[in-house]
Amino acid sequence: MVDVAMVGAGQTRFGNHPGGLKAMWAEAAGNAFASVDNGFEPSEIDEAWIGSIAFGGGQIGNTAALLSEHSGMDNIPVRRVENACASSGFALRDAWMAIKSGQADLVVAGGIEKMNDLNPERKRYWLGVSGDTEWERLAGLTFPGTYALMARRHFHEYDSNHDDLVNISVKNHAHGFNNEHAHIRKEISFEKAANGFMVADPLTLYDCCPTSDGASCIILAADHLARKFTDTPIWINGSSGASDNLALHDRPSITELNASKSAAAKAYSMAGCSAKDMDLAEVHDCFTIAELMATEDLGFCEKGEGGEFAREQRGLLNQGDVTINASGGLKSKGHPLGATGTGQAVEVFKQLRYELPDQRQVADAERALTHNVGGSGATCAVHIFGRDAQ
Amino acid sequence: MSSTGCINWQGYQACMSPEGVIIQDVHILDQQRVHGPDSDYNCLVIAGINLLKDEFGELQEVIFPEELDRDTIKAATSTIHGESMWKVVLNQDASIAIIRGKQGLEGYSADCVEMNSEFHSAINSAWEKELSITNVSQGAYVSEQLYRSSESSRLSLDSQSLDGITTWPPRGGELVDSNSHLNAKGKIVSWTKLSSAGAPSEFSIRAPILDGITTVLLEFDEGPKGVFMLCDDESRKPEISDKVELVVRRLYAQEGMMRYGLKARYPN
Repeated sequence: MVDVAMVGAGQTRFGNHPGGLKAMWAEAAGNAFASVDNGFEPSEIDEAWIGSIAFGGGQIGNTAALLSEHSGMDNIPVRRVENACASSGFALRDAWMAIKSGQADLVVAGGIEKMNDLNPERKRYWLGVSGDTEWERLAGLTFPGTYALMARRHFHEYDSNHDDLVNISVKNHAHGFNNEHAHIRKEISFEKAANGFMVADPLTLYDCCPTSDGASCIILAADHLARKFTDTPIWINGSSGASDNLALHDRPSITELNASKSAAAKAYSMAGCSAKDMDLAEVHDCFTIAELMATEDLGFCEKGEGGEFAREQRGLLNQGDVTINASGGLKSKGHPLGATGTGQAVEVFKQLRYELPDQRQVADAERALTHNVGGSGATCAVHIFGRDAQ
Repeated sequence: MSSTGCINWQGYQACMSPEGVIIQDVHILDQQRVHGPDSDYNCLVIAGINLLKDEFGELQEVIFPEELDRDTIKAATSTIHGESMWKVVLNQDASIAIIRGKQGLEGYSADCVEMNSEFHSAINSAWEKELSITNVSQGAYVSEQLYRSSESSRLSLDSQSLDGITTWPPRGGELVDSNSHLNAKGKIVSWTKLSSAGAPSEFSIRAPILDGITTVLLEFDEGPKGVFMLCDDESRKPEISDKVELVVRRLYAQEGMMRYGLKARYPN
């Protein structure tokens, strides 16, 4: 079966973008097109998938068509993919499947979100639309609340505590400090992170990612085309997705995300590798507890040892078992909801091609994983990338 | 309880006599009983009917005053408005009586919670404002039809069973062996207190007055789990494994309609 490679990748800076939606997408797509080593014409693209939660209601219908017309992707089939914060992780998977199926040879997967122009009330409407509205939201829960429930239960069942979450926050801010695309380029001290404003007990402000504007774009090519565009394509060795009960109270356990475990197992199997083979992982740390659980769910440590993993800084750039969130993760790089999944792939593209400055580069990286979660874990897309095709 | 006597019941004070029951809110302001921050006459009546059903068994029909939300009371208790020897009387203060004679019931003295007048005024103003708002959430909209369709599982814990596994909230469909009600009791699996800034927009007017919202994840004795707001003692810090009971209180208002649900409280 055909292999699929990333031949180009680009993004906007994540943060506040006063400009319009079309300009933001055009910038990300333009950066992706410009990143193709041997030149690229967008008119060659067969089809595109763009993830978004629809900008706080600003453009719910025909979102993808609105964007593509300003990036040279004229007259091709485009559509919006929506799976909450995993929207573009699934856009990437859908695009990958199109090439795998033989229906397309050259496709675009991307994501975009603009939320910082909303007033606080409207922003809260939209940040709460991806949980179980009827039961969780009407019990006073938003995502800080659902992840706070997970954190408290993890502390209760295992050897973990809030200091472990603080370590994750400090690490990701240190990583993001050197990332020119990061929303919050600021290192923070342990003391500051430990004593932040309490958002949802036990999670403080420093346990929560920011809501960002941003767009990201990936160009995928079938193996017979990939070398036309670059001598260093980055191959997608494994792609998987999974879902779980939407409401936390319908899950047997709240100290793990079954969708993460399931998607990772399938992706590892497809790629013929395991967690210990990964040099870096971009994981979905919408809250610090999410990264702690991800290190367990993705197999970087045993169940219940996520606290110790964080405490011992085993995810620190070039110093631990595997570099976790070299970009700064959602915590520091930012979280433009629909753009996060392909934003993670942009980071992997650059890391595996050794394009980043020394203070950002994961040394000798051969394999990487992206982990993109929708909401409190109802959906999850996992991808495994390598410098070599299988 | 015996057929006479006074007890704490579902967060209220309840006094039983051969003529019926009186349910009183525990909050006092200027020597007058007032409703708690998420309570009203409907909540008091539901508590009263539940108490009478505990004493006398089924109570299919009761005469309700027009001011009451009969749909909500029916969903919570299965009791409907109709010809009956039982009649609900709404008192001037925050108390109700459910009687089967012509005479009303006198209130009685008991330990009360003095309510801060500024808090009382602020929370009542917040409810009025919430009820008057006609533009509603465009992101997480629960229509009246959807709210009503799940009312019996929301208020009286209707559940369904298949192959010995109990599911709540029920999914409906045909794969059901039996339907039942969960007991309104459970233990805390986890909890959080959201700051007012982190609360859903449905609670954005009241959350700052309440200093945030505490939500607990409960496991029912029958197995299913659910999330509920904590009520009656909002300052209390819960502990995992604590046992709580569920009572009917106001949840929020939307499109001019008060919506009710179960909230968790520590039993007296």
